[in-house]
Amino acid sequence: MNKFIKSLGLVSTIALLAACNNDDGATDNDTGDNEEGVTNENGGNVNLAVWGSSPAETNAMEETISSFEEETGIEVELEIIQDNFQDAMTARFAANNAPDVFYLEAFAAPMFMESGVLENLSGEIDDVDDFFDPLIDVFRSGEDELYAVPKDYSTLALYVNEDILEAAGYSVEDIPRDWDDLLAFADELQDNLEDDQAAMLFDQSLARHYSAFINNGLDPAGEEGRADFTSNPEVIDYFQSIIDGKEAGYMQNPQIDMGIDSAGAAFGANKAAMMMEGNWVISALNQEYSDLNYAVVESPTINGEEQSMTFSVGYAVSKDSENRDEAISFINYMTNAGLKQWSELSGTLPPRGSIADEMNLLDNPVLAPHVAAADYGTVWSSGESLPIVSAAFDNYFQAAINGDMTVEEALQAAEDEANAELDRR
Amino acid sequence: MRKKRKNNIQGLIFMAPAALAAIVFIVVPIAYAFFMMFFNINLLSGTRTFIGFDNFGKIISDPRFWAALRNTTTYVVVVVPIQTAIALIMAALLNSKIKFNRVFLTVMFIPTLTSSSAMTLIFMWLFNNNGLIVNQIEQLTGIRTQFLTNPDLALSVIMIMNIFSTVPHFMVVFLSGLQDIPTNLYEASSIDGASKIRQFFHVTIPQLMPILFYVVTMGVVGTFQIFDQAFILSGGTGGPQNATLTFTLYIYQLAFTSNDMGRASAMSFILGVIIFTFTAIINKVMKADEMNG
Amino acid sequence: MKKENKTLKIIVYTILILYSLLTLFPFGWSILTSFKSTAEIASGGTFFPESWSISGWTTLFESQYTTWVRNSLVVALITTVLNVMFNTMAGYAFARIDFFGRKFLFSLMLLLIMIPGQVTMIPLYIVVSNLGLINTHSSIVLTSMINIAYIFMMRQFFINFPREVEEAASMDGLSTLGIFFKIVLPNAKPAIATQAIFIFMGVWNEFMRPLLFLTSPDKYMLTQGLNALSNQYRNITAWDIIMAGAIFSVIPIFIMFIFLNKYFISTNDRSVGSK
Repeated sequence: MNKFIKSLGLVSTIALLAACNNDDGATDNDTGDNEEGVTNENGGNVNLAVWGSSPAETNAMEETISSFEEETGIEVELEIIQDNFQDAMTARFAANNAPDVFYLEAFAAPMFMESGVLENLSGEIDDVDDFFDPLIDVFRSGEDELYAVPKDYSTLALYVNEDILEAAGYSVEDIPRDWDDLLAFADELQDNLEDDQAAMLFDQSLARHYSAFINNGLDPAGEEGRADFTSNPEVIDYFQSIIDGKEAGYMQNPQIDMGIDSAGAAFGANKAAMMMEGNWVISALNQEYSDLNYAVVESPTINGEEQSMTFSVGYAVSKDSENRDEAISFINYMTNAGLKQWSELSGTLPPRGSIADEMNLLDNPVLAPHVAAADYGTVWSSGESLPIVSAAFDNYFQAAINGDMTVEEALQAAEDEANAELDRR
Repeated sequence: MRKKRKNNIQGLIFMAPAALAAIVFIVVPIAYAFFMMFFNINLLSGTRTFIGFDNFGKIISDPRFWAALRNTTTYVVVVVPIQTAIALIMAALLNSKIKFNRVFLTVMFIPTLTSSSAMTLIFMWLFNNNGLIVNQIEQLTGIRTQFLTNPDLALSVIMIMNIFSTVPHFMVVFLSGLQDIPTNLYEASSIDGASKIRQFFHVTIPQLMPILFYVVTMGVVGTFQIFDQAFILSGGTGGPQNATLTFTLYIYQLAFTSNDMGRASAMSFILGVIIFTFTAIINKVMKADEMNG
Repeated sequence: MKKENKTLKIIVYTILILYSLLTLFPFGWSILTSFKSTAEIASGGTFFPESWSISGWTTLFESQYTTWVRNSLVVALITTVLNVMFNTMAGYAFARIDFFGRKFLFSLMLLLIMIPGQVTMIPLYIVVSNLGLINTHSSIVLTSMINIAYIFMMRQFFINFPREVEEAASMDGLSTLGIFFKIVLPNAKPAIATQAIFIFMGVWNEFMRPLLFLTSPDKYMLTQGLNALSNQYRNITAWDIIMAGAIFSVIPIFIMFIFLNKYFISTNDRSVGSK
């Protein structure tokens, strides 16, 4: 009977001892370089928070940081937050425990900029004109206000599986550039494919179709506090074309129609002839599906005009940072002198035109279409209302895909829901 | 009088560690959240404006609140009775004189071990529009039913998943409750010649009443707070057409999409009151208070 | 009479076997997936791997996975011991000691678990941050050292507990604390085992707190590490690695459960309900 209590006691003693050891070990390791916000002789330590990403990116970050530390003597403490990055940042700002420098995606930037918690970097960054304009402009608010500096970006392009195309009797040259012709081509192609293959994959979220709105002269979140999906009927035609493609079977969604959880995996497994994806899929395609033959071309034009979506991420400095100057010199290094090292090691695209030239990216057949889109792509960011507008769209466009609503009804319902929510806020 | 005082002191000793931890790590954060619900608050900058009960007005006027109320209530009303019944039956079966009962118990415990995200992904794979179940149903009936994208069916997939992973949890609770039922109660009733099934209803269930009350209450709390499955399945949107929008998903969207912590807090307290009322009614119906003495 | 019993038995076994198979299916599928190559997983393919690959498992052990397992093990063990002590004491007080404000305190505790965690997470972070506990394992231990749900469960168990033994011990002059430790605890083994397994599992699978409180990779707990893995490999759908990680994370609880399951259920050679 007492054995039970004894074993309980034993377990707790062992556990406590282990815990003490554990914490001791950690403090030993950390003393010296972990005292947050405390300045040493060389100046401050910069505390950097990033989100978890591929092993290549983590390595690249660590190596570029070492180069920076060697050059300046400023130490950088890297923290990788594995998920819910936005929640973690909100918690840290709320507790006055914000990191000196952190990743800021363009989508979330307006919220941080409006809240006034970011350091104005205007005038502190070297060679600002060298950045691709759309990438840095999203972090500006007015003439002399710059709140983040792009570290890299992704754009969408059209990926083509050459083996599937060839087996069906076509080549990459046969692929039309304009959206409507592309759909007609996909329709034709579908007849020559195996039963479990799709001519083209599609994604139903607004993040992938925002540029189609912009291209039709309609910004769904353009006017602050107002959502607008319906004021241009041409937009309806565009989304109708996706629904038609889905119904005819030549456009499929990887998760819903194929049960594969990403477009890249479906494409890599020879289940799809074409997909519109960002350059983040490249390393996976090369590593995991090394015998795949694919080509990349620029995103289709809509109404004869070039369009694509761009996803820009920058470094921001929190306003309360006690190591402001060190933080700024870190950003300057990472986005300038160290940018080439970072881009090459991580496999991301450099936001500076000069570095893109230096790396000869336009000669790389896979990357060139992505780099070209840096000039004309629509950056996934708008005012503070975009998260609400896009959540409403995603909620209702699915209904149109299911056939429960017409495209017009779905867009109207999404617009109403978003506006109601914006009014409440 | 002395007895009363002694009881108070003993109560204090027994409650002190739990109460202390609860005050610092549960009551203080909840009090903070309570305070936030009367404000329009920006957590990033820490600025806030007092707006009284406006947050409640905004919630009541939001059709998504009503959609969430409808979805979540349906969910609770369907899932709780089913999962409680299955868990109780399985526990009773395992507790009867059968061979290999520990093997069965161990195997049945597995779904509780599987994390909700892994479980959700497994279910998405099973129920996807080109998946095993959809194809089987089509072969059998000739009708192609799409589960995950169909507003009427998406919630039922989450329900099945929830039942599947919660049953073993409560089954184990019931089992350890069954272990505490004194053997002589059964002996007395077997002399009366009562059948096994009669015994179950006349001895087991009344004896298990406090545990049953616990399982139902925790079932109600758990299902009202369902989040992970709905979040993963809909990618956080609560779609299609708000069909998988649950209360906690709604709270999450208020906090992080609308960036309105005040309203999210207000909604949390509304949910707390709804659950409390619900369990109070169950308490009355099950007469758990009388049982509990 | 005999015959009826036999049919009943067959029905019972059939139900149990069917249900067991049903529960084994997703788990087995995960195990098999962990042995498939990434390309095979993406192509849907067959239930069994076409070619067995262990690259998922090797990648797993090349990461800091073992450190994370150790962290989780230590934190979960300490937390479980604290919880078992404190929850059981509080549950016993609620069931047995008629102290001032008992009913009110109990209702209040119930109300507290009914407030969902989404809005209290940030205030909790503020509390933990002000106590200077960020990036220590103590932040997880302290914030989860009690669990109201299990205080509630223990109370329900103790309500049914036969009072006679305690009364006899009280006659012998044992204090309430003495009775609790010497008489009550050893007799509440099934309930304590139930509590222990679920507390352990709760801490083991806890996600948001480690994510917010622990910032350096050597301090990570397993769920965070698993998530780090799946984030890293999500784009390439490396389900073999993710599933290997998920399966491996389940093993300690599974072992603990096998070890404890004698408290949940008596073996078949004894009569119904005996201990």
